[in-house]
Amino acid sequence: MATTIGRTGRERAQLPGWILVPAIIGALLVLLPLVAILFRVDWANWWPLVTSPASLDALWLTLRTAGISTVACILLGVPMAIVLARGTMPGRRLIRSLVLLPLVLPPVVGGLALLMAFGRFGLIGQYFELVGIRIAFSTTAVIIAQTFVALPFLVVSLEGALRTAGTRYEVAAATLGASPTRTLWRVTLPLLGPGLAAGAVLSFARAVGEFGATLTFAGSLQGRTRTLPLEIYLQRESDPDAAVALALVLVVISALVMALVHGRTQHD
Amino acid sequence: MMPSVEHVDTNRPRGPVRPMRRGRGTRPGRRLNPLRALFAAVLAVGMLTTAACSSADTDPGSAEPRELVVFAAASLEPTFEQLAQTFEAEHEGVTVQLNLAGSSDLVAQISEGAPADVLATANERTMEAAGDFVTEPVPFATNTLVIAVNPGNPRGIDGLQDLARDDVVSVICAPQVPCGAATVKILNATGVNLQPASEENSVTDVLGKVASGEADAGLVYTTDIGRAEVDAVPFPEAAEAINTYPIAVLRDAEQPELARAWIDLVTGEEGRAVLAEAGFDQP
Amino acid sequence: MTEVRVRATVEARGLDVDLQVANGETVALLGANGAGKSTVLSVIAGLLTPDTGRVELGTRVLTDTDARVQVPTHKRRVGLLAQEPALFPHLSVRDNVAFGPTSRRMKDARARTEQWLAAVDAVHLAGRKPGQLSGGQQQRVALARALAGEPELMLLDEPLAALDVSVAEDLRHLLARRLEGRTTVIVTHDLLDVLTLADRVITLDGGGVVEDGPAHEVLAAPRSDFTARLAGLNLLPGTLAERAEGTARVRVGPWTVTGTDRLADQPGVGTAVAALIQPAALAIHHRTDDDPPGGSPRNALPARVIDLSATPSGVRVRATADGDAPTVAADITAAAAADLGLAPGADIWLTVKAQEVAVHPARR
Repeated sequence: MATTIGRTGRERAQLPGWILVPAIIGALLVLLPLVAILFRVDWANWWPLVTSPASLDALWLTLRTAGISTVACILLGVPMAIVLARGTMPGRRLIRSLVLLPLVLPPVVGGLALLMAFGRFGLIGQYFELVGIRIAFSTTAVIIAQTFVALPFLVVSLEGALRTAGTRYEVAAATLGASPTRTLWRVTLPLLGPGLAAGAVLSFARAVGEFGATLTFAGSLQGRTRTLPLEIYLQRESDPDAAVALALVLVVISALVMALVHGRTQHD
Repeated sequence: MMPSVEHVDTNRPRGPVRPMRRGRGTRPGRRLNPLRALFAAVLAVGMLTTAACSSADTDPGSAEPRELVVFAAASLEPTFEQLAQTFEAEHEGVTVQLNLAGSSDLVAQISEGAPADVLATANERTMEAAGDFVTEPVPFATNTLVIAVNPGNPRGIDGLQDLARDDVVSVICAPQVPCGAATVKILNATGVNLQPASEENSVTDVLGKVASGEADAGLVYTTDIGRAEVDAVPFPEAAEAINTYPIAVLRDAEQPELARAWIDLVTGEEGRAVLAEAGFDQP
Repeated sequence: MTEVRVRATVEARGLDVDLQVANGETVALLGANGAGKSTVLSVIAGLLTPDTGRVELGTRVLTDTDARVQVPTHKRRVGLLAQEPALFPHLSVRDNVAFGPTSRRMKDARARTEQWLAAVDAVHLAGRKPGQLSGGQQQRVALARALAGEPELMLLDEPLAALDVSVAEDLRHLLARRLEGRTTVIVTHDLLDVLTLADRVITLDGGGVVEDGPAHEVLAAPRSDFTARLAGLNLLPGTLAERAEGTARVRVGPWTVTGTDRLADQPGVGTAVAALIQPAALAIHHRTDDDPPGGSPRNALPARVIDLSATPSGVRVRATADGDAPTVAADITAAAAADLGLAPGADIWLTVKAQEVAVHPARR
């Protein structure tokens, strides 16, 4: 076999040639369905379809709720990740696995679980009900569902970043006389910056795509709880072209988000 | 609406995975695309292995086993399962494969090339959407809406008007799905100003919300009441939207005779009895 | 007056030590890997709570397991310089150095920062980020950062181990200048660190103190295996007899050894120095009379075999001589050992070229 010279002037790992075959098949498996959407889009009506009141309501609701969920993920997830990565309490591994459960849980199960907790007769929900707060069928329910599924993404990526960084900077700060709080603000959090940005973007993407838990827990009502994925699922019943048009919007949003994460990690 | 060009769809639920079927080759006029070809190749290898291991399959002595594939709306599950047993008993060597799903999903699957012999949908609109894929649909059952309430009817809901009460959380089907279309029709006819808490994608979702107590009431079909822990409150205005279930033989059916026999069973005396037992009315 | 007293047991690491450091003294903590050196530093710094024990710094009790006292690290005023500089990558060099003084709310934080930047010759680097510095520059800045907060006790954990030999030498001299008069504990594997920086040596083995004494005494007459084989080098402590043209002659007990002059300043004849020889650089010959073997300009030391032991590459011969001679180890091939028919008690010549001997200053 002839050897071709690839990019020169840069060290490269030697790869066995055959590895390209499964790699390309895998890439096709991921890319082909996305490309297929492009072929299926009714381009003539695409703009009217994605700018219909129902679509715009869904899009706006999705961006709004996913944004709020991301903020909630940061406020709750950063402390969680730090405690999990640095804490020393017993049973930490178990707690960690439990907290990350939504990553592998079927979303519908997540929705049911949320119902059991925050529903009208839920563990906590029944007390909310007593004081006149109803979560089910509200935009709040959408945000809770999105946060529930997106939080583990943030925690996992942050915890990974924290573990990679190790404790040496924190130890150094302590020996220099910095209190734990000062160390957190001046050392741990600034160093977490890139990991936090990546984690937040991933959480946002996960929140935008959240479907099962929302459907089960929050219901589906235009402008209040019907986010983009729910709108797509519903449009499919009556107007597949609208569903495909919106699906393309979701693919583009997700692609932008991934590009953002990828771009950041490239800089590191 | 659905282009008839074949196309690979990875998201949609497919029909049940089915074993090898004798006498059924590649359909004429069907284009092979690369992914499907790959899939077929993998399947073929699997089948060869299976065939080599079981030579008894080709025993010429017994009646050739056949399979009838019935695509039916999910709401038909208990009745069609019962009728399938009857059918298998009456036709030696025949296995009935039921693919139960939402009507729209079924039509989508068929237009994507899923092999089926019979299609029974939960309303006429979805059957129309199947277009050229089916031949001569006939109505075989009707269904009306009923109010599903929490067991014991704690909110004292007596009629459609009560669903518009401020203290009642009601959920309905979205207008895009059959049960929702019927709901809209009734609400428009009666002028009841209902502010639903949610417009669900399916009757199952409406039932789930009521059964869990998240909602106080929901509009579902009479035949769905038995599927969840809810009580039924009938209302006279339901007559405004009687929903008809059509059934048809697929144009590309591989077992057209069996398919017709199935429709005869469903529309015959026994079929009517089983359907009535489940709460369906006759057209 | 600052004096450190440490008494601690850490069961999980098999540590049970009791040691003290006097005011202004630099103690080298030696020992094989796993002997517990870093654990001792962690206990002193408050990064690890011992199972039982007590740590005192001057009049302050930092740890007392009986009284359930454990002062947190940031309140101990104990500085740490580890093998990795661990400069905060998001802060400039100046902000790194200022971190200690501002954390301790020192009034003259700014002036102090500039003063320490100058002290480690890093003023021209002040605006850079740590990522733009070489390893040696980073460690210099880390030293300034550690000292700028005026710790009462400095802990050094193999501070030069990650650096190139030449860079390490520069930094070693800087450490010698900047740690002068400060109470310091340094963990090291490097004989040169001990020679240059330490007043006293404490050797740990199996979690306990096995050796404790003035650096020159311990190195001259090592009682533990570890000290004897420190860094695999033979250390021949002696006094400078003569310096000329890059070579130095050292009197070591009954021997006179000639080697390369590695003495920094201008120490006079009679000052304490040490000759360092790689065991593999030594050759062994039979000794039947007083005539040294061969005629080339090299060292030939009359000695007597103590014992022999197998090494992965051959045989290690330990030898010494009457008249206060240190123990010297020589690594030779198995074939050579067989040819010579060596046995304990045999009379031999130890020979080594002058280029293979390095004469360093020793602290006394």
